[in-house]
Amino acid sequence: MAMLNSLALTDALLCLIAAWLASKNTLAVGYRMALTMLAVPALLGFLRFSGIYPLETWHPLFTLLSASAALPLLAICVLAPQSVVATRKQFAIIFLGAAMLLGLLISGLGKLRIYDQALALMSMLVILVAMMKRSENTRALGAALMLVGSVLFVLKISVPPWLMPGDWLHLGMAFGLILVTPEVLVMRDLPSAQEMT
Amino acid sequence: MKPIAFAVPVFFVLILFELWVAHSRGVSVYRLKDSLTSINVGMMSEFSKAIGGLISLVMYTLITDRFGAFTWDVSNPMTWISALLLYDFCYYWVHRTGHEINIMWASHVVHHSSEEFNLSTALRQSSTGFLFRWIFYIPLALLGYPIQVFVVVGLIDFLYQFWVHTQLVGKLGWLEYVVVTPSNHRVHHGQNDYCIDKNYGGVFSFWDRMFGTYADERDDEKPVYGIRKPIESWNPLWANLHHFVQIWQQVKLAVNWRHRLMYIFAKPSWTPEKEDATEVFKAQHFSRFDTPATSGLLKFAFIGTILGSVMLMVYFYLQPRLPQPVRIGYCVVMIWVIAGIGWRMTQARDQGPALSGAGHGHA
Repeated sequence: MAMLNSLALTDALLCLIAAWLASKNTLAVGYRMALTMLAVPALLGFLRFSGIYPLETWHPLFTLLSASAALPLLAICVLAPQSVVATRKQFAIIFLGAAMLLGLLISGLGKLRIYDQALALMSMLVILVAMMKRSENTRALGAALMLVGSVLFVLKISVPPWLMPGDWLHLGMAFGLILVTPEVLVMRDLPSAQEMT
Repeated sequence: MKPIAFAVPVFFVLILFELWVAHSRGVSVYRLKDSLTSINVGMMSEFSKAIGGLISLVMYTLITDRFGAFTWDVSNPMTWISALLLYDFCYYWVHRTGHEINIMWASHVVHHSSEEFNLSTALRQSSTGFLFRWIFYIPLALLGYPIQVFVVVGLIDFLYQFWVHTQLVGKLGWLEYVVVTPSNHRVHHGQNDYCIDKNYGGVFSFWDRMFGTYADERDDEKPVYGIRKPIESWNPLWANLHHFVQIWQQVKLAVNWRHRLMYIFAKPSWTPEKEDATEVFKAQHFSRFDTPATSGLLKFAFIGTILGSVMLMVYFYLQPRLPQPVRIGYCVVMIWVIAGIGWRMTQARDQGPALSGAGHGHA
């Protein structure tokens, strides 16, 4: 019997927001792929915590894969919107594939969870610093929200008591992504050969 | 014994059968040096698996045990059918990246280095593929398909692909829409413009139709087999490594990191000046690689290859009982010997003009 608890609700919210942002075709392809990758564990979390279809092993796995791959890709897309990883599907896929593989080997099979957690926190920190330097205050606030949510989750803080640590992560990410994501991130055309040289 | 050990004699019988059919039809589809090289490359691939071939199975088992989501009933045919479909889907992407990402092409190029197309070409398998390929099958492990299902469907996929390497079977009607056939696989091995980056499927051809990479064989332009940058060597070791060496040299000479990464991960046709530097193919300018060879050299290469095959069968038989260091030592020596045969055949190039009858001689 399905039941809705706070984790299921906040995961559903994060999934919907990430998927909605990923559907914006004004954004760079790498950015959209990172958002899609963030929506996947959120969907699995919703299925798990609501009891609709609990894939117990997949939610933590895809969470660590997202932390190791999607957030670093998001950071690269924000910092270097003209990079091939941000603008070209092939390179975004290669980046995601390689980063997920490392995450799987180090955090998943090697059980070194600090790897994906540190990568995720560093990615958010990098976005925050970059946005502050550029004086893009709204986007900086978004990065700060993501960072705070993640820190509360890592520290297992549940204040108020009816919110779980995971809820902070989901809410911080969801609202953070809305603020961090610009209307237009980059032109989606392929760079010309001259630009690439 | 490994299942492949039982397949090897069958491969040889089928190669002899194809030779006989070709002979009876009065067509030439084999060249001795090319076929010996294909067989040597195939042997080298099997020997190299002693060094790293277990990676795939170990990783698969680890991931299934830890993250496998579902339990599959191996007595249910749907388990096998769905696993084969998914395996072949993953194979499509392994194969496609093997052509469209330079570092992966470096591993796969050896399979396309033959300028002939016959059953021996199917044996020309990569010795470095085991480094990458397992990564693409992680979805099956995550879905929890048992290791025995993975191994069996992998073997079916591999063995199926043997028979499609022939010029003696024409188009097969409606089957062309569903499965990989000799006709659509000939296109895959062609270097004509219409053949480049087409027909990646392993067992099923509908993946290519789904992802827009399908091309039919043309009656007005038969495929010319081989690669645009011929390796000009019969040495199986060089056939496996030459493109890695080329990438290494390009990366060393690159002027910035962007170019270095592009040389590794962009399409093989990428250059700093041009996104896709593929040139228009002119069949009339193509000539097949050959070297002069005395009958003594050909006998040496032929007997060496036969002995190598026997040693491979001995290896398959002894493998379960050999300690790992002995196994590796055996394989390293055999790789060295096989490379020596190819090196000797290629070296003859520098020793004089092609002998009459040997230039384009056919087995």
